[in-house]
Amino acid sequence: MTFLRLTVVEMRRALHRRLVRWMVVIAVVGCAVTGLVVFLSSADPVRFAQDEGHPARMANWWGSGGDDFLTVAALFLVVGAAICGASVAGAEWRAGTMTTMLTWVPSRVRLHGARTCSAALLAFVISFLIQVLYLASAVPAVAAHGSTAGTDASWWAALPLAMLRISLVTSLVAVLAVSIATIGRNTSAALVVLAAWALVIERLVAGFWPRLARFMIAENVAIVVRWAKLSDVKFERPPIVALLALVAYLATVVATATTLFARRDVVTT
Amino acid sequence: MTAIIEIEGLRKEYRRRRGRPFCAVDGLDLTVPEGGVFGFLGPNGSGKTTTIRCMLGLVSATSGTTAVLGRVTPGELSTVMPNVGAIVETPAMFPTMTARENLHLLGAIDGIGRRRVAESLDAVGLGERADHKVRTYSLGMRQRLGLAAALLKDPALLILDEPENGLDPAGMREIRELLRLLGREGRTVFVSSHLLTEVEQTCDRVAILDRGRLVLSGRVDDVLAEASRPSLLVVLDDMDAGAETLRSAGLSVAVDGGHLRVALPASDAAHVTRLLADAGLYVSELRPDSVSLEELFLSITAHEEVLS
Repeated sequence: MTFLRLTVVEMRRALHRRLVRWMVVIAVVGCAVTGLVVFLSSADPVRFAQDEGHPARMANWWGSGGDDFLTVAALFLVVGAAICGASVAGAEWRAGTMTTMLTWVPSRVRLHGARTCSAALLAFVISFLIQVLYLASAVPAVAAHGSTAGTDASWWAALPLAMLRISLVTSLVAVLAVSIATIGRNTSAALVVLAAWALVIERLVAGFWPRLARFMIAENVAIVVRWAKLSDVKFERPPIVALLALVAYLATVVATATTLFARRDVVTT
Repeated sequence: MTAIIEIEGLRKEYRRRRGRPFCAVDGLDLTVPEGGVFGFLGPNGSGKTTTIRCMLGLVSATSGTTAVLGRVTPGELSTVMPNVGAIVETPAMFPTMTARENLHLLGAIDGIGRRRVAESLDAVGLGERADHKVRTYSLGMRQRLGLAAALLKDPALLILDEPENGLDPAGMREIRELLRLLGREGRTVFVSSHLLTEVEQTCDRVAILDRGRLVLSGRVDDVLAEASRPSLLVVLDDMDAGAETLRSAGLSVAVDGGHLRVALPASDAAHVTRLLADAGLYVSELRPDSVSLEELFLSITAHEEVLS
């Protein structure tokens, strides 16, 4: 049993999860609906002329500001990765398949490692493909009503890098969710913890102690995705430092999850 | 005789939020020899499943050692598990996948192919339902699927925790025959159960666990023979005359319910019939007084309860 084979098996198991499949279907349908909305909303020349940030103007896909077309997708991808990651680990406990798995893979560190790697790889690949689909959905609007003005060579070079960074962040979030669900042995608990951390604790800390905001996950994610200094904050943090901070946070959580998973008794089926 | 499973001084305590820790297994010593079907018996809560979980590294022992296939577990489990098939309680599989898909995914971990998956499913009688989703399966069918998963590795040792739970009588019979066959093939089948008649019919050896302690262990025949009183039960029309005849021949006889209990071993049955026939009394029933595993089990566990 090689680690690679186990990782592939874990990827197949994750892809067999109904929730994961539904999330992919929802994303694909969302891309199609987005494409339709973009096309229809760009059909009226008067309204289109007034909307400077419309995604039928290709330059708005990336680099036009904080709410460009791709950044909106990133938000959904991160949320989807958190839900799927938590489900991949949490549902094993709920369905009781963990005991069955451990009679096949007795090394828990190996199993958790393979599961973490599979979640990271799947999240990365799926999120990249969804981004491609998402951008492709706006192509008919660009071709029929919009323009490619402003999309020079540097823009074309920046776009795939931005997509890769979004995939990387999605991947990190999926691993985070897997680890927290492994610690809590529950999907819902993991999602509640993640949501409470991101939406309540970090916002409170950033609100009351703005100087500490540079240590928050959300701020670091935003810096990594944009790969630039944030304009509306009171701190400076180079993108590479933000990325290293995220990796350090994640490594801590993964190490904690692996240690607990390896040591705790498995007493339920 | 080579030991396939060796447990020495195994103790497992579970911490509780309040009060003292709960001791599920209390200094268990057990040796399971190679080959055949070994029954691991005990009432609910006696520590059977905890012992199995300790052997498989699912829970860590508070003290004591376990060795499977000559390797200390859980330290060397990765070495032995390719040769061990196991079911712990009700085996769980992905409900939205078919039985075949579930086994393919499990088999892929050890590089097991489709042919072996089909063979395992056929062996447990699930061949025809292999492509149905597991969520449509009854409890008994899930047990069979768990057994198929355990057989997938073609293991030298099968550790089965109550594999007959949820099976109907026909299913029990099929599984009983399958376990016997597996034991005859030279594998060791370690099966925990509280279905005593099933165990008596299936197992070569038994160990009885009560309150986390081993109270009896050995070959089923030897255990039952030792527990049985060496006496013959005789039924005839005139019980009083029969008793008188046998007593006058110097035998110890008691009228016990609807029969006479004669204190002689089964090998002396001819002597009893001759004495009675010579007196013009004819036996309508004569059998050795045997104890079933169920009776033995209940007497042991009831005794333990009194002691405790």
